[in-house]
Amino acid sequence: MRQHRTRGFVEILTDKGVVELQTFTCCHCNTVHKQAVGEDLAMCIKCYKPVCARCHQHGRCIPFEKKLERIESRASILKAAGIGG
Amino acid sequence: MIFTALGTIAAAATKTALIMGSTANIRPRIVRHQISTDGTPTSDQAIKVNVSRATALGTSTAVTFGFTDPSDSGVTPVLTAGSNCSAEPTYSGSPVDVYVGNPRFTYVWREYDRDSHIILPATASNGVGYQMTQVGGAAGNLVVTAWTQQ
Repeated sequence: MRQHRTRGFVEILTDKGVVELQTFTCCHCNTVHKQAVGEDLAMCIKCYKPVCARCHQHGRCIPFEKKLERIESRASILKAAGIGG
Repeated sequence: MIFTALGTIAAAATKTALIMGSTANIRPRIVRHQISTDGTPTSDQAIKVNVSRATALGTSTAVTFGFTDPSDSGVTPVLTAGSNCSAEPTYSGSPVDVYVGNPRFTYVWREYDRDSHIILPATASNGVGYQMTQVGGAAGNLVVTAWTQQ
């Protein structure tokens, strides 16, 4: 069942009707997580956004934006070196 | 603007129905996807589809994008999409979303929040692919539609 201020949701269309689940996307690893009804979310105290259990356990705030910048800079270095596309 | 891409592949394990590709100029965002099969299932055994990041896009048939807004039809998308991969993309890391369910079901994921989109890096040959990893009782094709914001 969807609740207020949902960030996203999954609908599974079954032969017995529609099953709905709330989802959130981890602000550190950008993976989609299904949220059980009434389940509390772990929040990053720096981003103030929800994080998955694995990133929460990791305990360090590395926003996904930073990870994207690393991927992009690595690709541009490899391209400059003539290694990557 | 939001582009839609439809990908299919005959249901089989480790086969990719749709691969969304980024370029060096933009960070496309997947805002919604829908996963289903189009055949009459042979059993109720579950299928599994991984939505995973790729660092090489493999070989696929180019998909012509659809447009949710008719005024976008004159725009040439910068992102790419491929269907029915004949050479699998190179996947890296854990899947960003996983669907496990009866092949009779249709799975729809959508996000309202900009922070919740699946973001592709602004890097050529990087992307996100929809790979069937468990065929279960599925028959016919795996059918995936992705809505991507550019």
